[in-house]
Amino acid sequence: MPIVEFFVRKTLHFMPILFGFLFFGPLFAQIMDRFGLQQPLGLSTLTLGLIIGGAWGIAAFFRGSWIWARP
Amino acid sequence: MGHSGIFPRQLDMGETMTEAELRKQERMIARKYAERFPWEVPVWGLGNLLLWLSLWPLVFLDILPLWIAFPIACVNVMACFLPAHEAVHGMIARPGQKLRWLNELVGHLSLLPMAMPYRIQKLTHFEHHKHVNHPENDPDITTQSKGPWHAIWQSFVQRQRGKGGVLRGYGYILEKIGRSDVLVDGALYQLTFFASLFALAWSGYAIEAALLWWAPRHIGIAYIQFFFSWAPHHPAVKRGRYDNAKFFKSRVGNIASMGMQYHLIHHLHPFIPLTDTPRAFRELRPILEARGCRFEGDLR
Repeated sequence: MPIVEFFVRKTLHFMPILFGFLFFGPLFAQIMDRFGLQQPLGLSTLTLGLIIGGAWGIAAFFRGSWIWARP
Repeated sequence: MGHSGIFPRQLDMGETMTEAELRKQERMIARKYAERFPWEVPVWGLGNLLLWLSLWPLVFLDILPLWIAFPIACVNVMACFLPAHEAVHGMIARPGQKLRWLNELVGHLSLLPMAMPYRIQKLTHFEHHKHVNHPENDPDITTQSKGPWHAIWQSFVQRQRGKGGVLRGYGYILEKIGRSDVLVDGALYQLTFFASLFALAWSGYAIEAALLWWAPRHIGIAYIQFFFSWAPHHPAVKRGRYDNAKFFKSRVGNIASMGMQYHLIHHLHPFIPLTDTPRAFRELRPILEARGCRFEGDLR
């Protein structure tokens, strides 16, 4: 089904950005919560987590790597 | 290619054998190890999966602390690959045999902790056997590295998508052999894996998802690539039947190195179950030495 294939391809293509926001974001937030950090930099832990995770994901998307080295 | 053609080989016992005699003797010894039903493979593969799955309710219900479950999950991923590898080679049952369904079940289910599709693993692994150490056609050549620490680092670097897309190496090989149809498996597995992580994260279980699946998967893949791909083939240059891999004594012992000290036995005779490769090695040793195989360390 072409529309399904299109959706799957696009989702996987943008996965680093999605992963940054949808996994790293809440992960960093929950880590901050577990360490008892409250209102870091005046933001909620989730907001800060999404900023860090989302930025990392966007960078990984354009660089082709989550780390400083790439194949 | 090992020794060629017509000259007699000198074995350790002073006995001399022709090429044909060597081949016949080698096959006769190897075949002895092909008859046994490897019951440990389905037990290992399915048991390991059940153990990994059980970690989730145990952690969510606060029965098992996460700091204990995390290393267990790492071991689960490290241990999930080999039962599937045995299934790839039809060790449990070949096509047409009665227990073929069990063979395929073990293959598919064992790899779930690694979120790796069995069909992709099977097809690319066969290409590895056909083109060991080939710079373009061996799907595992990306693990080629200068040394052990470089190999671990390379495992993480080569995992990055680069500019070529997610399944860069394996996808390229699958397209080359005309099996890009199985990339659908890869897509489905990836979507399911990521969707699961996202759902857990937004349900308040991001740390659990990270330590029971995401991080163990990365650690497990590095371990598998180190011992299964890099160590026995390093420097991954020679392509002969008897020198495309080596026998080596691992500092961490046989079990922790997944039995890969004897990996060349597997390339020579893929029908010998993993757990029998040490015994097969000991019996085949004089022939392997006559063939010019590489030995590193005091392996017994």
